[in-house]
Amino acid sequence: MEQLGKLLIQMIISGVMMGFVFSLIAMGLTIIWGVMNIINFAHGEFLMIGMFFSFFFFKYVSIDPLFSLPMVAVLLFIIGFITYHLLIKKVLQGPVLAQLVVTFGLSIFLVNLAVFLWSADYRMIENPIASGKISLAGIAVSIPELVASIGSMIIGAAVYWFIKRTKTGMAIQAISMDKDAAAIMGINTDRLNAVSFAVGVMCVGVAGALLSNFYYVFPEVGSFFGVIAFATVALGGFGSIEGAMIAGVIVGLAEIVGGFLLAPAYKYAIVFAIYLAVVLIKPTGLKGW
Amino acid sequence: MIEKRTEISERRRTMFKVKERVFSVLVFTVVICLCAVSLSLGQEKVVKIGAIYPLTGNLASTAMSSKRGLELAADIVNNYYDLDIPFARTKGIPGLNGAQVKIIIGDSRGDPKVGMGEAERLIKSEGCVGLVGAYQSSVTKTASQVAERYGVPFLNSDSSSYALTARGFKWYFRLCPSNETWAQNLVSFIKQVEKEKKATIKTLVILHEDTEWGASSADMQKKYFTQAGYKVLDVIAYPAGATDVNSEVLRVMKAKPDILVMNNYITDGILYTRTFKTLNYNPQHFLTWCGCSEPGYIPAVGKDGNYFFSYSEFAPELAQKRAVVKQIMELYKKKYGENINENTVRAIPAVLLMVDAINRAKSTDPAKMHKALMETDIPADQLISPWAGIKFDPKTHQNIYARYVIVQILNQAYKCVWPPELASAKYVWPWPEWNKR
Amino acid sequence: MNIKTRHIWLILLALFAIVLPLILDSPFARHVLIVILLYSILGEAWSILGGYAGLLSFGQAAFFGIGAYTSTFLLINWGVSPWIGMIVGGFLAVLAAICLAYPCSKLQGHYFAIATLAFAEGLRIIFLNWNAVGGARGLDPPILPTSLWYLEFHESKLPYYYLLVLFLAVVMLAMWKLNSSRLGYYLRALRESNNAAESLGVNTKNCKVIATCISAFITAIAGTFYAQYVLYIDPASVMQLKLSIEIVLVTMFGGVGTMFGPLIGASFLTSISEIFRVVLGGAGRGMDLMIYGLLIMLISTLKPDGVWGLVTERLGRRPGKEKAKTSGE
Repeated sequence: MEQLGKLLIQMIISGVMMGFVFSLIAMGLTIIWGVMNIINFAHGEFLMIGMFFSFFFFKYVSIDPLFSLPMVAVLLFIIGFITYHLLIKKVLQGPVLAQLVVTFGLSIFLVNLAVFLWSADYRMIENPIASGKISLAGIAVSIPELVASIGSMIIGAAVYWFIKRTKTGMAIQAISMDKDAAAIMGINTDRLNAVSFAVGVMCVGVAGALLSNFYYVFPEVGSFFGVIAFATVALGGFGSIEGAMIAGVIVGLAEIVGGFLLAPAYKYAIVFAIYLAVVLIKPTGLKGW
Repeated sequence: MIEKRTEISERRRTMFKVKERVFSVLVFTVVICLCAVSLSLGQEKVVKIGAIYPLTGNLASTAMSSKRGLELAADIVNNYYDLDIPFARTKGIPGLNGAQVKIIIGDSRGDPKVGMGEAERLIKSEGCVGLVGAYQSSVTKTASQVAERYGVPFLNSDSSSYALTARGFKWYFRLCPSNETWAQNLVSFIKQVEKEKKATIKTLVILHEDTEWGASSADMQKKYFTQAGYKVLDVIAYPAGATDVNSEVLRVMKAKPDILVMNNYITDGILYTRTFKTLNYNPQHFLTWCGCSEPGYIPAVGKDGNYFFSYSEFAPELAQKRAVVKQIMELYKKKYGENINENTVRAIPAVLLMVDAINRAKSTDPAKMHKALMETDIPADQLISPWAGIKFDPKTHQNIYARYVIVQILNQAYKCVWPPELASAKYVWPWPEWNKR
Repeated sequence: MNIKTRHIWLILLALFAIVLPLILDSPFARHVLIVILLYSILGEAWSILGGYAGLLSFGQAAFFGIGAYTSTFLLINWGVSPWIGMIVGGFLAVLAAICLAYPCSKLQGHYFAIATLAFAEGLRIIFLNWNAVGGARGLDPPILPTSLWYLEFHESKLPYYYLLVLFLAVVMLAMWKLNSSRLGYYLRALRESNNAAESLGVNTKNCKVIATCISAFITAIAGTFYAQYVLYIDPASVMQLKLSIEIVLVTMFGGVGTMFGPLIGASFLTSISEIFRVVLGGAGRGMDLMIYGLLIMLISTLKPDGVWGLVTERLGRRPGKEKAKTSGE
């Protein structure tokens, strides 16, 4: 019995830690979703790019993922900005479905560009600074996961602050609530769309960089996280940052605790079931409006 | 704002003409290409062998190794090499007036439907006399059905699902061992360990990814371990490519088996290794399949990969016994700048056997090739694989001499530990605990 | 364009469909044609939901899988003809559609989309671990002698092709009828505005459920065709999210809410993808899919209404414009 209790604590800790990373990934998606009302199918691919960048910084310049984090963030911000201007902007006025097709296309393109440039090999960062584990009273916490979850929390809080407290952030919020009204009030929607897309991409890129401390890097890595991110965002409510944060933790817990109690094979089914159950009770997700 | 809008729409209108033209050209190319594909029936005077591999997607790197193996084998047949294997010292196929061999590669994308189409194209449009491939058992299933339909030999050297030979196809031949063989090999190895190390092994847990390969391998392991009197405490399936494996490992820890038998791919293999270490899980030992033997595994996990047992279809130790193995290893290294791996080694005999069958049949007539394949009896010393030879079961067409070797990772290198006649190192048993390393 | 010329066009198209596989006589080309037809049918089925009712479904693979699994399971275990299995599978898919659509009908836009995705993925995971239907090992329909009754043709691909052409024609005809039926108007009304439709007395809930059911039924039948054609099914090939996305892609690419959109989208995307794969796939560097992705991006930024919009513009008719505007909320 005591052992089971220990296992449970272990699982909750691991689940919450993984959950924070999911939160950060979902936050990036929800910002884009809320502001521009588009499903970004290439979200997971930006995660992959973030992971690859931090891997390359480590391999070719020997900068630890922790220190290359700001650079990865800036790079991903720029990539997001460029993507918005080259692609997203062009379809924003068009039918919703064209926006979907564009992000599908982008996703296929990015995965295979990565295969083309860097091959489909699996890579891993060997012995980053954040490695090893802390054991306390039989509960083991892996340091890279801890670092990733703390990092996700910090970045998440920063983005939250940016959206809720700064002038730009408030304008972004205004757009996600009512685009036309925001435009009438003199908000430059185009510029802010670009900023929010870039911030969204940056969030997921940073999550990728943090993941690269303990997760393997390969071109299709984004697809695993991408689908979970959709469910997470929808669970939290589209456009809601608080929702994404809470939903991320729920997903992380469901994956580990649910997987353990029911059967690991069904752990993602549990995540989907939770989503369905929640939206049946509250059709706009946990925190959506 | 409004001015800008009209300007944009003006520009769109002019762009529209250009787009229209681009579209017409695109439609035209599509039609032409389809026609060209259908008309390009093989007319060259070389023997074409079709190969289907998942060259896009997760397995692209693995498939590339196989592809290099096929090309190397074709090169050995076509040109003069001073190697001690058949067809190396001649140019082309002697029995067919020195005809050259050409490998036509088809990409399956790992999709059974695409693999099926590829088989149609390779046989009927490209005029291939036989097929090799297709890595994933699901693709092999549909592709070999096409070969069966057209009566063309399909030599399979890298799909392990036992269900493939159970179909009793006439044109399907499997050179490599199946997951049934692996389960049998594992049981013999564990028996040997019990004797040599005086270990008491009674229980096990089988962990497998939820793919066709994982599930059917677990079936076989459960069957043979139970038959041999071991207790299978739990069979745990988990989603392939999971983002986290804590719950799986904790479940295994709760079951407390003596040994953990794993069927996983490299990605999950890396994740499991880290999670085992974090949670300090130490059973008597780990027996893994695939996860630890892919070329990327050791570079990814470094020292943490030590002591895992894994399967292999290539034993570099053979190089000390057979000169040709060493020569081919060097040849490969020189040609492609990387070490040969088991995926390459598996692909080579498929091409060589196809050539051998054509050579003995003195024709590419399918019926004659079939007869030659059925009569195949190649001794072990002509092979670079650790198999005991090639001879097909008359009914299932499984190579009855096929077997795996079991390797252990020692000092970040694979060392063969089973079967005894190939063993090059003493294996470490029980598993050295994580925090005592 | 008056009715008469339209008839002539349709007859020409039908003739073209009949003659095409006779010109392209290699099995590979016919295989590609069959895949195109299959995707067109799936696209039409999606179109009922996505194009008419404005409900984005990312879960079509669930219905496809139910169809494929039901007929195969019945054929393996009791030797039931796939024609019967097809109908049974269709009704099981309808049942699943009711279970999904009834509670989810109050969900708006993207929430519905993700609900279908969650449903399909959940079902895939269940099938993956359900040993009675083979689990991850999949099912192989028995290889029987060629017969129409058992829907297996080994000598030639033509029967599959013509059956699918017929099936597509029936589906298209149904779509055409739907277009001018009461349900069709209701669906379009609720696509434009759920609340407005409701205030006009449209029972939006029932409409959504019925649309999902029709879509599921057609998709499931296509699933049976797939199973009998490929003769091997497993959750990874018939229930994968990738399949659902491909269906959406095909339809949107061709033009949503139009009758010929899915056919055009499927022809275009499948041929391009196959050609790139054959020409470039062997290099193993993902070049084929890279160009494919690039092309999709290019076309959808240049031509947001899909390829069909271009065709209609050319013919001087522009229904594509208003129809393609599918709201996702």
